[in-house]
Amino acid sequence: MKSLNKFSEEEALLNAALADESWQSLNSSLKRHALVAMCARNRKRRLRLWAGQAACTAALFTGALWWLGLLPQPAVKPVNSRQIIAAGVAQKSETPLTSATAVHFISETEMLAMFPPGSCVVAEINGQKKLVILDPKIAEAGFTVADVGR
Amino acid sequence: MRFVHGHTGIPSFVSLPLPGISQPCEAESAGRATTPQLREFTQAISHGDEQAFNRFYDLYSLRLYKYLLVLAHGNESEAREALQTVVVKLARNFEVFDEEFRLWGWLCRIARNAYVDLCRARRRDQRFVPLDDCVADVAEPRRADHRLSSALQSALLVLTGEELELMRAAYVDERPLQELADASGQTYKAVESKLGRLRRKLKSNLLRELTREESQ
Repeated sequence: MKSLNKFSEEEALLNAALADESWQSLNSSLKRHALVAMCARNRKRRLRLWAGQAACTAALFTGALWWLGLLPQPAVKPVNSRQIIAAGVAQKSETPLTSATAVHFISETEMLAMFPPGSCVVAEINGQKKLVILDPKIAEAGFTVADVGR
Repeated sequence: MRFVHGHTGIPSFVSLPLPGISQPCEAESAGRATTPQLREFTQAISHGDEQAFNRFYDLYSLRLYKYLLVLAHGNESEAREALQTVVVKLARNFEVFDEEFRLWGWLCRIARNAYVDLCRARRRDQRFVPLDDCVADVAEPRRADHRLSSALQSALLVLTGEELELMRAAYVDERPLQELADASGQTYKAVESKLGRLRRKLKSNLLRELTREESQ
């Protein structure tokens, strides 16, 4: 108890000696400084909180729109022209392509010229144009696969 | 746990005495007692409660200043500069504590770091000055308290018995100045100015003692 009393006595005397007028003015200006710093920190915190909330709301809103399918679908861009040609040929001819470089469109006349004359004709059956082979043996002899690429 | 404000917007602890933190001597005696109010108090400060910070500042600014004064070996301007840095740091970032001695330890560490930074800035040109030497021996809060106490004891020796009695009556027993004036047969003004002189004398002796300890 005695040491406690001594401690408080020392404390009181120290406070009396050190807390003079210059300390009082310093004290109040420091407090002002500190409160300004605290206000700035609070402002920053609030701003960060609002920014976070706004970002979350925007993300949620966009997600909801996407979920409901209200967002415009982005146009799918083809990778290159070869793929377009390949896709077109695949659709038209319904024959598997071994190489994209083999794609070559020919006209009806060119096609008939590849066969020996009189071996086949182009006829319209049920409104659709079809190649009719008249004599398969002659046609087979006259047709070469290598010629297609030319 | 979020601190709940009262109807007036003033936290309830602001007006309450905080056991273990309002009086440093009580804090010493209370030792490692846990104060639930301290947690709420420090939490409120860390959440940016200005009133709680005001209260904290009133409780701890002078105590921190005394600690810094010991670190700075009685150099008032250095202590004040470091205190400014500490206070602004605390206003920007405050931690939550359950125990007062931990809070005080943390404050002392911040004060010490601020003082070392200040020394570093001051002695930038003198590259080979060991900065830790200037604070290492008093870095521990208890040692700083002890050093301040011994400096005060030495400073008090300069005062006469009558002067010491007057100081004790006014600042330790907190007797009203009018009563002291009546007892000594002097006017209120005379006692007041005498106390002012004694305070200045004690302060200059105290700072001299702290400076002398550095040179020894």
